[in-house]
Amino acid sequence: MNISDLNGHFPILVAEDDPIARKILEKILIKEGHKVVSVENGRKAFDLFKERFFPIILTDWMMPEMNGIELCRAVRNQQASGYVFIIILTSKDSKDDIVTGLNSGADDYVSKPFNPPELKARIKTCMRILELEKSLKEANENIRILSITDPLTKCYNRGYITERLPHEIQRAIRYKRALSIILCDIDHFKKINDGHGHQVGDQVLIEFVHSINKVIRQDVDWIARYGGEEFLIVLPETHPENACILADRLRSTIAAHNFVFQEKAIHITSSFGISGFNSATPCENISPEAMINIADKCLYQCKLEGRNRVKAGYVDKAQSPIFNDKRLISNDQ
Amino acid sequence: MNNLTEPIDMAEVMGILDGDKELLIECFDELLNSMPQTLAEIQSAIEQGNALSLDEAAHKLKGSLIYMAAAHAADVAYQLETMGKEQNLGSADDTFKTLSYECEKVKEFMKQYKEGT
Repeated sequence: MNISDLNGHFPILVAEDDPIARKILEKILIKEGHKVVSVENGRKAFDLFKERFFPIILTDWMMPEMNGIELCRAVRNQQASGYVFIIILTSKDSKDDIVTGLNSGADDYVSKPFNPPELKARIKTCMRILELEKSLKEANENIRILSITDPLTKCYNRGYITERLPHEIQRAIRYKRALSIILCDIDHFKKINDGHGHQVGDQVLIEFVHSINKVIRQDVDWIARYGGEEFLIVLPETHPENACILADRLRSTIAAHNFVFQEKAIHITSSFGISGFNSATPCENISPEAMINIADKCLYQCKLEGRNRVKAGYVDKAQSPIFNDKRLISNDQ
Repeated sequence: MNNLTEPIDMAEVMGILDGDKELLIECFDELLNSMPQTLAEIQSAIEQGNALSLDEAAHKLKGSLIYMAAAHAADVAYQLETMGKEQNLGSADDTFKTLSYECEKVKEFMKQYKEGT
């Protein structure tokens, strides 16, 4: 893409007190295809900038109320959603003045009266830098997504659990909301790998996650691969009793589903260990480890009792699991 | 036209305006409208001995004149701006007379240009 094709993508904020200079700037930049908003002093420019992000600011140096140097400093001290490229327009062209301008946060300067081809070229340079920043941000975002995604199943990975679960717990405690987690795994998964091969095993894992994703709430609940064939489902705003109902629905969905690979139907079952707390639970120091530990013990209990079932435990104040047989929701083998 | 005796260097101003004649007329109109008031502000600042106001008003007029390539008038405005900055208004009255004369020439030039288009 030619850099000129991006002219409308980077709105320009012009701060210039001289109406003639302002008019000329507006006209030249608009003719080039830029979106331009112009104001007559630094104060107005800064007020507008606080309401709306401008990636390019073109500012005069000497202006009433807030001059260009003060505007540069104010913009640099402001938390912005992206980099702001500031060009200062100045009749001051001594080296000391230029250094002052650049030190206050300006990226470039243009001497007044400006020469239109030079001004356009400087704006193009600035757009190249902004475009580079944009592509770096996109690359960083892609890397961030990769770093929290399980490459096989495309659900979140263990790293995301470490990063996100503490926040979910903190939020639930702070706002006195319920939170549940489900640790689940595919029963006898090794037999699938051994009997059908690892490629089929991988497809089972993918479809297993897909089946769960179809049932849980989009953009609220989330699932992450805990390791091997174990997955953690996090259910914000969900009491453990309701998590049991959901887990049982997942359990029966999986048990009823025919996983077909290479024209062979594979039948699987899965087990679900739940831990959580409700909004009335006095719990201030619940750790992710404690919650996972309870869910893991519940899952282990499922295995001991024959698999394809759901078991739950509450998290109490002392972070110790309470196994309560009354919480045994499902055992419909 | 690049006549140094003219109050406005048309070749230079057309370069600044990227050859936009419509914009030139708009800028002439803007300067014709704003110049009397800015000159009045300069005069008032000199009469009141207010150096800061003189600096600001002269700076403002100088900026507009530079963009219109009115070099002589801009130079005189700059002299007044410097007097304001240095708080030395001793010869400001005389310099203001020169500025008024130069600005009058700029004004006439702009009017004639507009009539000719």
